[in-house]
Amino acid sequence: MTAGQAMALEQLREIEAAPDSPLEIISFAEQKNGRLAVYISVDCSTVPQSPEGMPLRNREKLKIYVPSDFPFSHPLLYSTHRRWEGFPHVYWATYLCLYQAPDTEWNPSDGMFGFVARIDTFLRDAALGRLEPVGAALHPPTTPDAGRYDLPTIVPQANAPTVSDQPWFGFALIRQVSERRIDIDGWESLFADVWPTTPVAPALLLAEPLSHLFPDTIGKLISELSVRGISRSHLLAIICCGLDMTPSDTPLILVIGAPMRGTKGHQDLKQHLTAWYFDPETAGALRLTMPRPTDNEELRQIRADLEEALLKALAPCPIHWCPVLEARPEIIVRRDVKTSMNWFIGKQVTVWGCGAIGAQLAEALVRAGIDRLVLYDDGIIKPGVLVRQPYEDRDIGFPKAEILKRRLLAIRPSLNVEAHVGDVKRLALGRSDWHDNADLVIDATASRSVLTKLELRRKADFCPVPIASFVIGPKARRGLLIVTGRGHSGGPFDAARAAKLQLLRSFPSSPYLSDFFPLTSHEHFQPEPGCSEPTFVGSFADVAVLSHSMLNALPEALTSIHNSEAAICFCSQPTNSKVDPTIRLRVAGRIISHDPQTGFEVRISDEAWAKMHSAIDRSAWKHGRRVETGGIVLGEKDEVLKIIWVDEMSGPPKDSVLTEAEFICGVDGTAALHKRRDLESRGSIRYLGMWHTHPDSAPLPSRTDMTAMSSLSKQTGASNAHVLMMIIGTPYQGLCLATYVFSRREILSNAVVRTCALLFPPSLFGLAERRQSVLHTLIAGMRGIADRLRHQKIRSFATTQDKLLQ
Amino acid sequence: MAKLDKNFALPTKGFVQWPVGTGDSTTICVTDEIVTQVDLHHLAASENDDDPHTPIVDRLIALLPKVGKRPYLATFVLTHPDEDHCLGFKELLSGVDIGELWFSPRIFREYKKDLCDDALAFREEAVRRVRKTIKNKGDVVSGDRVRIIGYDDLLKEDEYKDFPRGCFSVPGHELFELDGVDLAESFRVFLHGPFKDSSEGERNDCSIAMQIRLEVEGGQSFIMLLGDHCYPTVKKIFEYSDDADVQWNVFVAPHHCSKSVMYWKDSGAETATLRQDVLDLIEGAAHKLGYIVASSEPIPTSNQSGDNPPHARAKARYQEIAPTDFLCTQEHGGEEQPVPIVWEATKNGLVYVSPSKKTAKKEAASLTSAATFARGSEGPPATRVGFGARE
Repeated sequence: MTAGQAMALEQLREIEAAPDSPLEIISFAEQKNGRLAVYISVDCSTVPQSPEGMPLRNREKLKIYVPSDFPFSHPLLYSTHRRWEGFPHVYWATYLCLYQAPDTEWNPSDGMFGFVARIDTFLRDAALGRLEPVGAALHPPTTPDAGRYDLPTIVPQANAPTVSDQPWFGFALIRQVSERRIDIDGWESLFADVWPTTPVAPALLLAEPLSHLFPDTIGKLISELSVRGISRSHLLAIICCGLDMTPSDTPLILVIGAPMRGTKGHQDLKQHLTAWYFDPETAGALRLTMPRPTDNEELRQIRADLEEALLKALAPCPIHWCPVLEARPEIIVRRDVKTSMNWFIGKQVTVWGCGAIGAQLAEALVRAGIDRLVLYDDGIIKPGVLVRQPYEDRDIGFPKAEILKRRLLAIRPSLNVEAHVGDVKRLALGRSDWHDNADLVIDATASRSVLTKLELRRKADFCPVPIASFVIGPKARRGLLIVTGRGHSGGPFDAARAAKLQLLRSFPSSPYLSDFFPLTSHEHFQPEPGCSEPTFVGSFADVAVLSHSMLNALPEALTSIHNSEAAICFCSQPTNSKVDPTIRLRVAGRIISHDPQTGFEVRISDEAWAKMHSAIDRSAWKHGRRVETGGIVLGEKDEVLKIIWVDEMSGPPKDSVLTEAEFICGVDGTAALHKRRDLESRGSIRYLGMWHTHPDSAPLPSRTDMTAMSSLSKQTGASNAHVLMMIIGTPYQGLCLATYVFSRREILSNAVVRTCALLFPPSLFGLAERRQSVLHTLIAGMRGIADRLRHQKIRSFATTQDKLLQ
Repeated sequence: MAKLDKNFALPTKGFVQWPVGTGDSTTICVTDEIVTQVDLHHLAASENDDDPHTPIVDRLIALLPKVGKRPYLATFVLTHPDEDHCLGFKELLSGVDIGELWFSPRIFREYKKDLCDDALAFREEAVRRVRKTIKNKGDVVSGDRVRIIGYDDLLKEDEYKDFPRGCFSVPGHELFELDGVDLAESFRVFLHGPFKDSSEGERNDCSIAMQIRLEVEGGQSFIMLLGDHCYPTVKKIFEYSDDADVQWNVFVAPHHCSKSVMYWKDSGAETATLRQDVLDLIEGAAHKLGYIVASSEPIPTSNQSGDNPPHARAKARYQEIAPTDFLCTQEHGGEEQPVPIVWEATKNGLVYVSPSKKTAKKEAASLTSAATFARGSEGPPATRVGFGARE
């Protein structure tokens, strides 16, 4: 007896010695296999019982097997009789299943005390019939152990046909996956017009349940089936059909189902499937009993006699039940049910990048149940990446996308997966259908170039698809997840900028800033110094924990925001000595104004717009409604993307002149403001241009305006650098916006042509509707004030942008 | 004196187990007029008002069918002449007309000083009837009839050598008559004991053992009465008999719920060990509706070594195998006022007649509470505890 078993016995004795203890130790004995068998008797006379419950006698004798490594393995409990056979959680007539999940339910520290308390709970629930209450999942029946280990495992993948009040006869469409595994991929009725031409197993699905412990001999099965309306001849008929469809000298599998899966009390029970294995000899013998068209009367009789003799001989033989591992959707409840990853079930996802992050994400997505996956990566697998990417030694030298596809198909052969080997900037972002019609685009390239081109492509060929960007910090301690709603004013590039500004404003000392928006570039890590692309430092575990954490956060982030918003999530590893709290930010959509002539898109923040609005109101109150007002515009400009982010709009500088005819924008304090905001925003908020009002008229540039812009452009350096002019008119007592972006070269050419895009920001229709309304953009084709049209110039802008997108 | 319900009546067909303390008193009702009593245990104390035991002789006098003005008992069976099986016989004999006596010849071998007064009275009556039977060559009437059960060389002795063989039965025989009345359609006794080789052994081992069957329109009810037999004999009975002859609805735990039925010490062994085989045999012979009865005082929760029956461990083992219930005569209906256990034999088989008053079962602690107790308290002690170096 091991020390653990001695302790178990001692604990049982303690329980026995408790006042009025219902437990008595009858005997115990060590067994050859090292287990300690303890017979106990339990007084059940006061245990409440109900008619539908498991009948308990006044005392029940039970057998406990204490394993040699107790308490690190839990004891097993058996009844000493077969009276409870057929009741829930009673297996093989005597084994009482106390723990559904021993690894979590069994407490070694509590030893036999907890075990005995569990027995108490089991007996009380069983006596009241509460082990499987109405509404609870039915415990599936069991099949007697075949005692053979050479039988194939059957994996039903396809839902079983619906069986009404009559048994169903037909075929299971089978596929030999390996020597030891046969999958059921479909079903076909025996009465179908055309029988299958692919491999099949005959199938018999009952309309009534069988006993909880399936019969162990052929005779008993025939007897049980006959009680349920399946005569012996019916059974033989379906077997013969199967034999007819099966090559000779091969085994036969008869699939037998009974409606014993589902929820107790529920009428629509699903089939519990079992598979009876006939070895080739038995199948061959049965084959001999099958009548042939060419049989004469004598031969027919011989076959009938043979059938009778064979069945008589087979009756006491054990049935070899194959192991069945369920995979039917109608039976299996996903182990990740009700987790955030369920959002991905049935989705189509594109993943850009199959490296450290992308490969992790792709595998998680496949396991989560996505329908279709499109992979892009231009890299090959190098020896060094095995440290943290889920590839194998034999994969070295192969394209990551291809190998990842192979790996994912090994996990789920039915997955619809495409692998594109090549640069995502060319293969995906080079097309107008860059999104591959996916429900979600994931950028896991950690490439600023990809992010930038995505922003450009999305602007040019907008598609209402959510985009997620995954980035890991330089030491793989922190992660940044950016999720843009399907209608957000920008892509991840845009949202990242907003995230940076929000961090600077609200969490100026956050370590996330230094990881993701450093003032100076991080020291690059080159795994093969001088000969490889810089990357971050981090282990497989680092990457896995951050990637999966962010992926888990993605569905919630996406569903918690409005389509017009973006969500940002900064997270860190729990292994950090000081865990940085997760920061979740929401990025509001921006008012978008276009300058169709130059292709610039001006994205105005709510705050900037509100501030400008306030300045107009204040001026009207102070100087009169007809007096023009204005100020300077601050934000960021990307000449490549042709995007201007307007983050701030100041009121008129102190030295400005405000009249009904003119607004002369002063300069007092503007340089200081620009400098301060540039510093504070780490270069993201700088001077962009001017705004002014046109009271009681449309926001169309006047000659005065053009003169002013000419003057401005002379002061702002490079000839191709652009300056922003925003005009806010009040043509119908409401604000109307138009934005104009001029380059010095354009103005100097004295040939300015503008197609004005007038925008009535939603504040005109009520701010509450802003988030839900599509911006009412009124594109008014209006001729500009300059008559001389220079088509060549305009075309050159467009051509440049087209080239960038290719 | 245990109060008896005014409306209490013996069943027309059935079995009654009386709360008479640790002793046997089984009444077999075969017809309205034919009643058999197996053993008797009439405690003198039972005649006191506040005593929970039933004064069985008084009850029988009151409840037995009357022939003329006298109560009539068709048969009295004495399984063996121990006091706990025949106490009150003398009084019964004076108050009741007993048609026939069944007994083992062992009673003739006992020394007088080894028998109680009632056993001596029984022997005296038995001797009278045996002599008359011999004299009349078996042609005797009710009140003089006897049936000797068992093997014994006694009948080879001159005094008994002419005893008619028709009044003598051995184990393996089946009997259908009571006091000369053929009841084959509704009654059968199958004799299991005493065993031939046990006539020289302990008195307990020489008990009459029998299965009694009552039948009503094809519905059968069985009671097994095994006297005071112990493990070896009980095992033999179940092992050697046909299944039909050992089946039971009511199994009266031998020797008033003695553990000697299932705990046995082989010669040379230090302690008695559990013999599950006999329990399995008993359980295997049970009907779906099956009661095991301890004819004893209330069973304690535990016993000290050397305690006489009833034994708690025996009760526990019987509870494990009793298909329907385990009952104790002195606990049935409540220990303060126990009531007889009555089963009726019907065309649907045995029916237990539930007492109007629920048996108050002693609450056992639950397994959980026992385990909690066994875990021990995590709190500080409730009373002060002193420590110190000074003695």
